[in-house]
Amino acid sequence: MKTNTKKFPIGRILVYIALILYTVFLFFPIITVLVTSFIPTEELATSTEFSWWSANANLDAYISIFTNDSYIMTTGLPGLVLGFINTMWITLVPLLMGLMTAGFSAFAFSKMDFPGKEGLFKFSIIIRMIPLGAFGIISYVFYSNIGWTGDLGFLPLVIPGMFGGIGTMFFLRLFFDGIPDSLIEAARLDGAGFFQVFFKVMAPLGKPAFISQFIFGFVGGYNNYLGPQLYLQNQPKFVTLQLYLSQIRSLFPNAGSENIYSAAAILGMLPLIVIYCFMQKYFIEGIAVGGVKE
Amino acid sequence: MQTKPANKKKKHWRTESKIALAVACIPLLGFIIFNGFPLIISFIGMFCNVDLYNLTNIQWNNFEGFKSVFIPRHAFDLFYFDLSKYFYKAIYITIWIASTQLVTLLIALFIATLLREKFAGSKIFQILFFIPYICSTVAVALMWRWIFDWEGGILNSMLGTNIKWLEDPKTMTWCIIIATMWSAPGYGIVMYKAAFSNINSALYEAAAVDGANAWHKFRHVTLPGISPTTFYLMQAGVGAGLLTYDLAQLVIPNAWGVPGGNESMGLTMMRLVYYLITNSTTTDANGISYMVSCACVISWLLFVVTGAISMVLLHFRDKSVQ
Repeated sequence: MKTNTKKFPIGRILVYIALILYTVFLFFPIITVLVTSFIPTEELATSTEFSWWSANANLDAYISIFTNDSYIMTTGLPGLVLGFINTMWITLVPLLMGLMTAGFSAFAFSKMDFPGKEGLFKFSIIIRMIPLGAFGIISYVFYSNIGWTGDLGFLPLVIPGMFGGIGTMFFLRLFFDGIPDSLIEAARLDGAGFFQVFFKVMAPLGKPAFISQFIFGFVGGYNNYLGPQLYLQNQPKFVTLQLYLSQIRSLFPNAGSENIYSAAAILGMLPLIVIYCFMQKYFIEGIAVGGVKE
Repeated sequence: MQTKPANKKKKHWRTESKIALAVACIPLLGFIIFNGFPLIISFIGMFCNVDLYNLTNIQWNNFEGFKSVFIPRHAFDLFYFDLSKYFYKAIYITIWIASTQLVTLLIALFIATLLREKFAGSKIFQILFFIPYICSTVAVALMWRWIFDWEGGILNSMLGTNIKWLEDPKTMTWCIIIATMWSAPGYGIVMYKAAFSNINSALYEAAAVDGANAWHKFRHVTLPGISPTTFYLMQAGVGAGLLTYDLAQLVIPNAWGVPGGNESMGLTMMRLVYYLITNSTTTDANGISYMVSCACVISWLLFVVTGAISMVLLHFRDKSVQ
């Protein structure tokens, strides 16, 4: 910024102070749970003050989570591990499938001509503008009536996403509009059909758009709590990571178990934070762009 | 839409236009099945008693759902749950929580402004500030519950106080709000950073020529330039605030059968809907149907309110783009 080169150093110092204060506000809570996760249970049970350090600091809380919870008895796996596995497939199956179907649809709307295209497109625009978040819970009435609860409780979390969201379709379509028609013509002259053109031309060229939508969907699926709580709560075999974390207090009800709750919070946050540190550029772009979906 | 390339391709693609039509409809089909039917059922549910497991059993309920939600004591006489009391409390708490989204917006704008210019470390700050946004609400709630813990929590230790932050009706709602404010601004910061880079730098130069100081530039160039983003963030934030469920439920769980904890000071509208739906399986048959009907009424009310607010804000946003 050329206009602001003459900054007083005092201004710069104030900026640093403000940013450091905000950093403290954000990371102080994380550090307190990290510290507590190493404090032994006996000390937590007896003390009434927060302690920053203990001479007997250990990893018992983390070991307890992996060896001591009741999920091992009922399902054969520690709840955290089982939850992670379940979260992965419950998130990835609809996400990948949905990206493909939304991609097909975006390709059709962007590059193809078919009967009823304009009508369908206008209909989609209107639909996309309706904010449907308020129906997130009441949809339970629908799913319980078609029998998608209990043992089939994973279906409401998996099947709808496979159809690909309309917002995702619009986002991909906008990106596809920027891909020159000549590339598609060339592929078509080589004898490629609809799906071949999609996988050989649109998918590779649309990679940045797919990645940003993938990250947006993955963060949302990984952190989803309401859905699993509504449909999978009484199904130990389908426990998800977030569901497991939300049950941690009842799984370890003894006094002084705060180290276990803290360790669980750290273990729950860690995977995404680690992935984020390696791919932060994709995350920031993906979430910024994916949120607007314009 | 793009009539030119379409005409050119029409002949070649004719055999495949059927495929195109079919795949183009898939997301719409998903919408109609998984959003359309719940919408219809919950609409019917406002006026009729709907069975949770047998849809053929639908009975007109003479507006009992509406009466139970809005008229004091009506629900208690009908199914022994004083719904309207909780409903009005939930309106109050929900609006309170949603309005703090505007503070979140101000925090995001302030931090993004500080990060606007590149300087030593600015990149690191930006990376760090986004981390809370990707942390799961469940882990965040565990974290804040430990900080606010009455015995051994760091807040009481640091202040030397002995306050039951999570149980005292005076402080409970603030616990939810602080946890929300901790995690929410990261998104706004990123969006504002992107909005800043889209402002035409010639406008600043012109303003400098006119002798504008930093505040004038911010007021007359930056603020108008980012107003589409502001309206979008307002719409997303207030919408999310009105539909708060996760953090409210996790930081302040239901206590002894009271939805929303002590004096229901953590009760949001979505939590009330959840309570009505899930607890409906444990009461008697008549109560079940009435509670589901009430949940439908509240859901539709929330839908109308969030829809109206986002329509107004989108209107302002479209106007501000020009």
